[in-house]
Amino acid sequence: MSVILSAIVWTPTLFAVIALFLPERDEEERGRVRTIAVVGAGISFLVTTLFAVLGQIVLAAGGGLAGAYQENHAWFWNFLFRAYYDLTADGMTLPLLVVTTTVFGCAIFHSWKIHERVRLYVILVLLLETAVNGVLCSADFVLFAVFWGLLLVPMYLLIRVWGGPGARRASAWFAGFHTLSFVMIVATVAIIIVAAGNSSSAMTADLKTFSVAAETAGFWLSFAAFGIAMAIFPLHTWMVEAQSKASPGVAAILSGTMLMLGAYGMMRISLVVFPSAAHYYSFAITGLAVVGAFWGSIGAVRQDELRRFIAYMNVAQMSMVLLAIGAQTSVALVGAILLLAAHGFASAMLTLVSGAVEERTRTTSIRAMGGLVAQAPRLAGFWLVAAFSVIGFPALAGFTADFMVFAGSFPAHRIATVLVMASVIITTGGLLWVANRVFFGPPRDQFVRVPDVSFLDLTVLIPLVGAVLLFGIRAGAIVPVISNGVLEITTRIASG
Amino acid sequence: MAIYNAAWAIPLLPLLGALLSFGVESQRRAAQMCVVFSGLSFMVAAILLAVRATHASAGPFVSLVTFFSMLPPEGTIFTSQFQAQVGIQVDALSASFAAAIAFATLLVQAYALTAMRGEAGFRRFFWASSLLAVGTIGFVLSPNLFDSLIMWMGATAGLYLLVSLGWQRSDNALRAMRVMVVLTAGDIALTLGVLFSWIKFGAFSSLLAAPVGQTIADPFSFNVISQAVVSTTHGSVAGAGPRALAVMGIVFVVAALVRSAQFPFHLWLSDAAGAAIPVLALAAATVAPLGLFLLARVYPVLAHAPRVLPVLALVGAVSAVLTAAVGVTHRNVRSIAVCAVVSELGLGLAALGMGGYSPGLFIAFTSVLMSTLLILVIGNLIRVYRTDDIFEMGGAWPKVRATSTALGAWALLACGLGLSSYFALSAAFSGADPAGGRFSAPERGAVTVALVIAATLGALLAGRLLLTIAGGAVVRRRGFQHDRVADPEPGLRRPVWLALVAAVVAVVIGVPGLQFVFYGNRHQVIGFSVVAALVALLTLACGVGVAVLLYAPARRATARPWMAPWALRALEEGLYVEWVTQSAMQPLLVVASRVSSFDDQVTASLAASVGESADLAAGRVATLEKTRSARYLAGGLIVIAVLTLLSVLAATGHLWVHVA
Repeated sequence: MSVILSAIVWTPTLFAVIALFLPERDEEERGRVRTIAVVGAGISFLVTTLFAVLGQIVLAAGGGLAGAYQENHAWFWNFLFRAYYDLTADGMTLPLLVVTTTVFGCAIFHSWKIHERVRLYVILVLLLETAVNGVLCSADFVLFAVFWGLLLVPMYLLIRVWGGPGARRASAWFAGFHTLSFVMIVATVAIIIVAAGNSSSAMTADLKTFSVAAETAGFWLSFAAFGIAMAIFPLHTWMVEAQSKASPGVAAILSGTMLMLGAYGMMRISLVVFPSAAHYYSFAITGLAVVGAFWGSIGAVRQDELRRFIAYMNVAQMSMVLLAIGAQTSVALVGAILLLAAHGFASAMLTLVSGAVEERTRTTSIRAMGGLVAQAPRLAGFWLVAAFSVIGFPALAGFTADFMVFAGSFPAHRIATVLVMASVIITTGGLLWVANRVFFGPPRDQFVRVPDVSFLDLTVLIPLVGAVLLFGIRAGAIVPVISNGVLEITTRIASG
Repeated sequence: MAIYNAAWAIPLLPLLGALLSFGVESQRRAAQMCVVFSGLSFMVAAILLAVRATHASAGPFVSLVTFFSMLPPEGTIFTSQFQAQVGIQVDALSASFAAAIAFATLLVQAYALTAMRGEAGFRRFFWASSLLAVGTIGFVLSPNLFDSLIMWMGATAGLYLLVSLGWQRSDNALRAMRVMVVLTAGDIALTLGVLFSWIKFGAFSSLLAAPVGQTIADPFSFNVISQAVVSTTHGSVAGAGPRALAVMGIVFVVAALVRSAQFPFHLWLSDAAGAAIPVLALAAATVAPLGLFLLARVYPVLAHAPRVLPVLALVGAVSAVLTAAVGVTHRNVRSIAVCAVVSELGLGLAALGMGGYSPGLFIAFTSVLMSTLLILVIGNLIRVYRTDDIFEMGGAWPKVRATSTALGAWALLACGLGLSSYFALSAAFSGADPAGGRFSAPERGAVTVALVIAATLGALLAGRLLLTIAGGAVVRRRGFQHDRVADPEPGLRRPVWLALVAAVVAVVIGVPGLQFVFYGNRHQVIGFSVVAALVALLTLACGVGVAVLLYAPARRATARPWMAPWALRALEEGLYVEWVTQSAMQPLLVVASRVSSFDDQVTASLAASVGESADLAAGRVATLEKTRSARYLAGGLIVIAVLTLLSVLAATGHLWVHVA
């Protein structure tokens, strides 16, 4: 029996257990704790990349329909219905697993900048990685909800304990919204099991047609739950607070992977399980996407904090994903998965660069920054690479993603697509305006001694740049893999 | 022909140069490496052009690589395979423009070796300009709309990197941002056009036989689009009709107008004028003409879309008038150069719009080299006189002989001897609608009147520039050693001479070259129009005559006040970059403030109620910040995780407990 997916999910936890027994009395011991954590995250990344993704790429390149990795184990719940510990990773999941394992790896490398409670930090990050990968790999609704619930505590503590001023409020908002999201997901799962009359909560089970009321309630509950996680307008406020108050490494995880999980859940559950309702309300979804795209891009322009700016950009980017979800075509959904991957890398990079800038300038205010390019040209370069990827320039991950989202959405919702495309102009202006105010302009006296990127920064940022380039240049290798995964959704929509 | 595969090297060599330059420590060596690779790129382009010239009537050579491909299952929405390919297409049009753009890039880089020596961003200029060359040359060699979009956007990014070279100055960074935002608007328009053509013509392409070596007929291919347009006009493409063609034509025209810096999108080129001279030269000579090239590639769409061509002609002609008029009022030599370039491209657009496919392309082709010549000349003048103000120059003919000779040659070409005004007028007089018949008399009349005014103002602009700078004596001003004015060093003169020779050769070979460029499967038959020639001569005489009357050295003192009549000045103010920027930025900032305050006051208060109730419930968790509690919590979590893991192992039969 294959245990690749279990290895991806549980290896971080295994290393968290090992880290728990290591002392952290001095810097050398703390370094050992970090190294163990890096090894744990690294193994998860290597297994994902080498075994899972490359295997699928080779299969797809051979012209065959690459199937999903399936790990069917046994039930872990057998009261009223059976819930299984089943894991799966199809074309939709695999690229996102690459993103999560990469971003978590970077976040753990970033722990070298953390000097207090290092052991607790890496343990929580590793547990969070298990929860995130578990959500992505779950093939059972109850298992999905369990992993979703496991996200809450580690993230709450990571924001609260290592965040800056105002972290208490931000973590409370996060906890409140995600508890709400968790409750709604549990309710959705209950509807699926009860209303469908199934004796099993496996995602692979033959889903029976719901009554209109159950379908509508299930769709909107799941949509709201995942909308919160995805931080779509108007449920984005928790993310703006959390993104701006968390430590940079945690904020990178938040914007790079947590938002992605919301979109993934929306595609995996809201679209697949409730296809009729999703189709019926697609106009409302695209309407939210249009408002969110403008809200995010325009709102970003007026922000004075670097990471609040990134948070609003996240809202705009997630609105593009929402547009694809509203369009519900295969091309748009493949584009959405690519966009989630591209956004995961670029957003994590923007967040880590902004953290590095804040660390050097000792301010979070954009107005107080300026002229950093003279002292930190490489840092400015990393910002521009990430910004160009968000804008969607060729050879970077965002280009193919944006193009496919627009190409897939255009036949379904023309005006909405054109409007969202128009919002890209504002996004472009916003990203470059911030670059102007933070990096460009005459050098300032107070920043004369600001150092450029350190070896640690390079260790964290270079893998992200590599991923952005790889997904941009070799999009052709990954698109067939994703389209195999998306096939299930489009088939359900067509038949539902 | 296998030799055409060498066309891959034309855009890839500059890319290789840029990448290799990163491995060289010395700035100058890195720059020279980029220049060498640009030179190699030009040599390959020139050889291919020569080969192509020997059999001009052969079909285009296409080589493709699949970028990504998928077969959407929704047959009713996506009627064809979604296959995006990149590659090269060698035909007369791409071969000639690739050679011209590669040569212009080479000249500008060679010029920059001296002009930018010691300046901040010296090294960055060379690799960024090489990347720009990848975009511009790649664009003209594109075999399909998807590849064109990639290269088009690549050129946008390359230009941003170049314009922001002097990023230590806030105004430079602001200019770069404006350039990028305006060009992004054009990118969006082109993306829309690409998507729309795929949606409309995808079904048609799936019916065509796949070319040799391909699995399907590329739905983005120019050839397929051309066939689809013809079929659409016969009503044999489902879901596509005149309205679809009109929408498609309009978005392509908007993309081209932005790229060619036509009114009101000329702001990006004005902003680029604030950058270093080599940057302006690349923007004007290699980026701006791409708009016309795009229209040439999608010309079948424009030709069969109702009313799109006359609108294009009118917009081009009016833009040429406005920019030439503004150019006549400017004192800043960079702004004058920008106006001259935009006005010239406006004539090309008008010619294309009036059905003059080959004349329009002639103007675009010569504009590449004439713009290079003009900008390099003014670069030398600015360097010599240490000012941008033409009224602080003067006396160039006796003192700066070589440069003023080149300026004179450019002025003669721009006045009308470059044949731009003749070809534009000839197309307008002919007014032959490519879809059949002729354009209406009011359309032809309006475009002709605008073109006559534009040509006259263009001649006046060129004459004014030449007479003001070359005539009279060097203007004395404080702190400037007027007696030390002399031609710049050879490193700056040689590229100017080469550009001059190239511009003249482009005009000379361009006239027979009109038969080299094919529209469809034949070249346009261009008859000599006596009336157009006479009118072009008349505009030349009028423009130059007025320039002599106003700007001959003897009259210049009295001319200056006259040259700021209130109407033109108001026009200039109306087009003023800052004003336009402010008028666009202010409402956006106001809306952004509203959005931000709404989030802070309304959405956030709702969120707070959710968040704070959670905070209340989780109040005790605050004690976790103490290390001991944190240990207990972490331990608890780990225990839960271990128990979960053990349960899983047990459930899966990996422990001693077997579960059926």
